[in-house]
Parts: sequence; C-alpha cells; structure tokens
Amino acid sequence: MGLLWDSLIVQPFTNMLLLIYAFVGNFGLSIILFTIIIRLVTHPFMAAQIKSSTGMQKLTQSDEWKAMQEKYKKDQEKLSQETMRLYKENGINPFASCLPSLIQLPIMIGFYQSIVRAIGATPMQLLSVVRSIYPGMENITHAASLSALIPIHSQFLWMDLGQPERVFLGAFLAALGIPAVGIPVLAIIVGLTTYLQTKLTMPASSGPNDQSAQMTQTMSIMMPLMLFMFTLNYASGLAVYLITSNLIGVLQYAALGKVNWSSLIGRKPEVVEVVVKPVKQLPKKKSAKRS
Amino acid sequence: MKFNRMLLLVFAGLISVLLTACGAAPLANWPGMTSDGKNVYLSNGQVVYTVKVSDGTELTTTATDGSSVSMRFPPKLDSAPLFYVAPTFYGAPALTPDGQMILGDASTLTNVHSIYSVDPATDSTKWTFAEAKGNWIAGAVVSTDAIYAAAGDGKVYAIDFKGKKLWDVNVSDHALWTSPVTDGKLVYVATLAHDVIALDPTTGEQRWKKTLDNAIIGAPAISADGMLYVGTLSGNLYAINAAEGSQVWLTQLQGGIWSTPALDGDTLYVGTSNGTAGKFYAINPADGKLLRTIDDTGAIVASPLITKDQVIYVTEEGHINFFHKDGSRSIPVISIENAKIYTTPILVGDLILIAPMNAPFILAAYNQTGVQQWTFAPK
Repeated sequence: MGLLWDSLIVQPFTNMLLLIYAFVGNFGLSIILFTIIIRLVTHPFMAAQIKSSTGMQKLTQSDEWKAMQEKYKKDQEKLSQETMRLYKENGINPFASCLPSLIQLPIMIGFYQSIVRAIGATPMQLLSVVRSIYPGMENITHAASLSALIPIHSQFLWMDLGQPERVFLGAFLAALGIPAVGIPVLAIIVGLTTYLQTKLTMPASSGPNDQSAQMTQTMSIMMPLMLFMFTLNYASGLAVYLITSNLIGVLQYAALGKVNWSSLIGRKPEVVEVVVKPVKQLPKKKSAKRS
Repeated sequence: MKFNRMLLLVFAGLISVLLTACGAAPLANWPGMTSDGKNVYLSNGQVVYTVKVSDGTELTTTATDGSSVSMRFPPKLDSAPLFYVAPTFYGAPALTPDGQMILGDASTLTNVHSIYSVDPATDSTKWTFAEAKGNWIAGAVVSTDAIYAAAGDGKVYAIDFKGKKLWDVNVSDHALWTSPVTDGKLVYVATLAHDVIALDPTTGEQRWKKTLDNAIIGAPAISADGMLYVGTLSGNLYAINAAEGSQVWLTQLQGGIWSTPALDGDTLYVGTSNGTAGKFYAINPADGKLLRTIDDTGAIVASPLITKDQVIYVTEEGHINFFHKDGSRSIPVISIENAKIYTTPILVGDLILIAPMNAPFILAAYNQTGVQQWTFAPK
C-alpha cells in the first residue's frame, strides 16, 4: 500500500515539483505554481461540491423535507427511500459534497510529502529524493538532471522551506532580558488565511436553527486552529502551500459568485429564502399525522 | 448546541496537539559513531550514547541518591527551560587529544546552532560554540591543535580546544554536509554544490577549488602520497592532487557515490547506490582502473571498513559482507533482519561495530569471523 501510494502520488508530485523548479529556479515559486495547478485541476470537483452543498442546504430547509422527516421518523427504511427520491427529483447527488474533499485530502497529504522529499534536509532524505527522480526528467530540460537539481535552493524569502519557520527576535528580546524565541509567522498567516477562507466561503444561514451553519461556524474556528498547530512543526513549504491554497480557494469561490463578504465584516449572514421546486405529493399513510 | 460546540473545540484542540506532537516532521538521518578504544560514542538523534566496547553495556554513573544513571548526552534535565529545544546529533563525535568529545547540533528548531564540548567521563558540557547560522549535520575533525567543522550556513569553522574561534570561511551558498578532512598541510572540504575546496589550516584562506560534476556527500579520502579520492552522486570517482587541486584521473562507476572511499595500500574500495541496488568496487588508486566489481542487491551508502585481512561493507538491506582482500568472500553474508545500515562500520580492537537502523538494537559488535559478540539497545 505504501509503495502504491508512493508511486501513484508522492513520486509524480515530487517530479512535477522538481520539474517546475527546474524551469523557474526557485523552490518557493515552484510550490506556489504547483498549488495553483492542483487547484485548477481540482476546480471541477470543487464546483460540483459547492453546487451540491447549496442544493442540499436548500433542500434540507424546505417544507417538503421537514414534512417527510416528520412523517417517516419512525420508519427508517421508508425515510431513506423518500430521502433518495427527493435527492433524485432535485438533481442532488448526496456524495457529490464529500467526494471532492475525499479527493483533495490525499492530494494535500501527498503534496506535503513531496515537498519534504524534494528538499532533502539531510543526506538520508536526499537519498530518497535521488531515488524519486524519473530517469527521463533530464530529457525535458537539462535543468531537471540530477546534477543540476542537487542541491535544491530551499531558501524562499526569509525561510528555509524544508524546515519549520520561525522569525527570531533575538536582539529585541535580548534587550528585554528574554531568551530568543522564534515567532511562527507563517503558521500565524496559515491560521489567518484559513479563517478568512472559511468565513468568506461560509454559506448563508437559512435561519436561527440552521445546524449546518452552526457547524460551519464551529469549523471556522477549528480549522484555522488545527492548521496553525499543524504547520508549527512541519516544513514551511507546507505553510506556503496552505496559504496559496487558501487564497486561491477564495478566488475560486469568488469566481463562482459564492463568496459571502458580509460574514467578514461581522454582519450576520442574511437568512436565505428557501425555494425548492415542487415535487410530487408524498404518498399518504394512514398512521402518519401531518403537523 | 453551545455545549456541543465546546466539545468540538476541545476535540479539535486535542487532535491538533496530537498531530503536532506525534507527527512533527523529523530531521531524520543515520547515526554517527566513534570510539576511543574503550567506549563507543553513538550520536543517534537526541541522545549520544556511551557504550562499553568490552561488553556492550551502557556506561553508568552513580547519582546523588545512589541510583545508577546511564551516561548520556545531553543529561536528563530536572526541569527544561521555557521554549527548550532538545539538540539533535547525527555526525560522528570527534575526540580531541585532551579528551573532549565534540558534538554538533543538527536541530533546526532553534536559531542557536551549537557545537558542544563534552567531558565523556561526566557528560558535562565544557564549552559551547554557537556562532554558526546553520545546523551541523557532519561531524567535526580534529587535528593536533584545532577542531575543523562544516556548518549548515556554508562556512567552515576552525576552533581551538577551548572553544575559541580561530577563523571561519564561507565556502558555499548551501549547507555543508561532509566532514572536513586534513592531512596537516591543508584542510579539505567537499560541498553539495559540486566543489572540493582546500583551505589553509591556520588562516582558512582558500588555496584551491576544484568543481566536479555533481553533488558530493562523502568526504574525500587522503592518501599518504598526497592524493584525494572523492566521488559524486553521478558515480564519478576522482583522484585529485591534494597540493594543487588538479585532476589526476576520473573513473565512471555505476550508481551514485555517497561515502568516503577506503584506501588500503594499492587498492581503493568504494560502494555505490544505484536505485535500491548497489555495486562494490576495488580500484587501482594509481590509474583508476577497475580491479574487481561485486554486484549487490542492496544499496551501499556507507564507507567500507578495512581490517588487517578483510574488507567489510554494509548495505541498506541490513547485510554485512566480509571479503578477503583477493575478492573472495571470507564469511557468508550476515543479515540483520529488517534493518537498514547506512553508518560506516568501525574497528575497535578486534571488534567490528555496526550501527543499524530499524533493528531491535542500535549497536552490535561482531568478531572477525562474523560471530555476534553483543548488541546494545537503550532501555
């Protein structure tokens, strides 16, 4: 399984990253460009996810849905049959909202592994890089040959992309009598941009009892916190990827007209009027009482 | 709902801590080792172990409460200071004539990149040198009156035995990963940026620089007649005149060269890594002509070990190979199950010491007939 993962995901990603590096000569730019490519490639999945989530949200807030839930709450089999019928009639694929995430997650993990591998911060890690490079790479450009690629310039702006990033305020803190402490600037930016993205792409609430909106609200705190902690001790190349990915994500949502600017300035998201296309009347059941 | 959100937040916090604590990207490398004949010192990440060569047990000392405590560097802290970052050691410890053990910190989670002088008898720090702006992957080398060390900031540093800097010189835009070597006349350092550079040992002034075809990971080997033998990741093995830096010969081998060649009189030995396989070569040091080649199923990353009667090389597959100097196998291959061996074996007395990775032990001793004498696994 490990070998399959390596040869299907990590190795191609590593080579792609190194190939971009061979052309642009800057590893930080390579990560940014590769992130943009990956976001573009996965854009159709993301658009499908947004479309499906919006449709699903509208459907679950409709009277039709609520009536069905109430009617068949004691008959799980019938409830699932009717749920599927409603999905079908409204053109919603319930798996379309989670499938894109399932596709994007291994890409993110694989991409991180390829960044760490490509940089090779020790001889042992370099051994892994050398083994990952496809023999045909140098036929594309001489800059992609082993001798031209190694050593990788892992410096980008103020950071070493193969190492966790810290900005040391040594002189400033020493003057205050405090030992040098590294400030994880990039991890903070990751947290901020993740918060920004979650806030901006948060769907409008359909009402005060909208559980999905409440869950999203919780996620808008959880995700930045998790990714901040995650990037603290990981190679800063991952942070560059996450920041780029977050910003491109906002742009993608904006292009689809789904950015919720009001949530950023603190205004409560406006309540959406739910309109669901009429469907056939539910079959009546003697025991069921309409509320 | 508020309670649920609180629960979710607590859960997220716990997951984050777990991810950070368990999943931090490790700065992985193979261990380094050296010996003073009595003990072997093994740099194995965040601990440098002191193991008795006689029986493979860890050297201990008696604590103030009368209990027995393992001699390890750095000693266990009673209470770590705020923001304490434990040092990491991979380079082979260097031993000075006056009994200091020199260790370079490979950690990158701090901006203080120290060389430690340690008293092996007490594991106490005698001095630290923290002027480098990069970490220390390779071990230092010691001459009669100075310590030479190559740092992650691309500089070579010369330090006296009291920790005072004698000189430093910038030789590369990239981190330095190979130990400097010296013949007493010059200090030689090989770089990832394809260069071999000779420096004046007293001033650090560059005497010559020779650019090779690819990155160099193994330090050059120096012969008594003034030749340097050094290999690159392309598999090119070079003989260079140590005084002038001129190329004497070049031999193309199959696979990349990751270690220092070993010279034994009229034969030069070097292993290569070609994917996950390897080749072991015996070469005439006078002209670079191949004398013998052995195909191996495992990559050869470590330098060979030359004993009085045998040539020993280890492979990434966890195999230890013993050969007579005529090229015939002297002992059937010894295999350490599931292990990977990247560290160059050392000879201490009659014992061959091996430092495997992924094995139930981190150090093993074999006699010259390949019989295992002891193993060491930290408790």
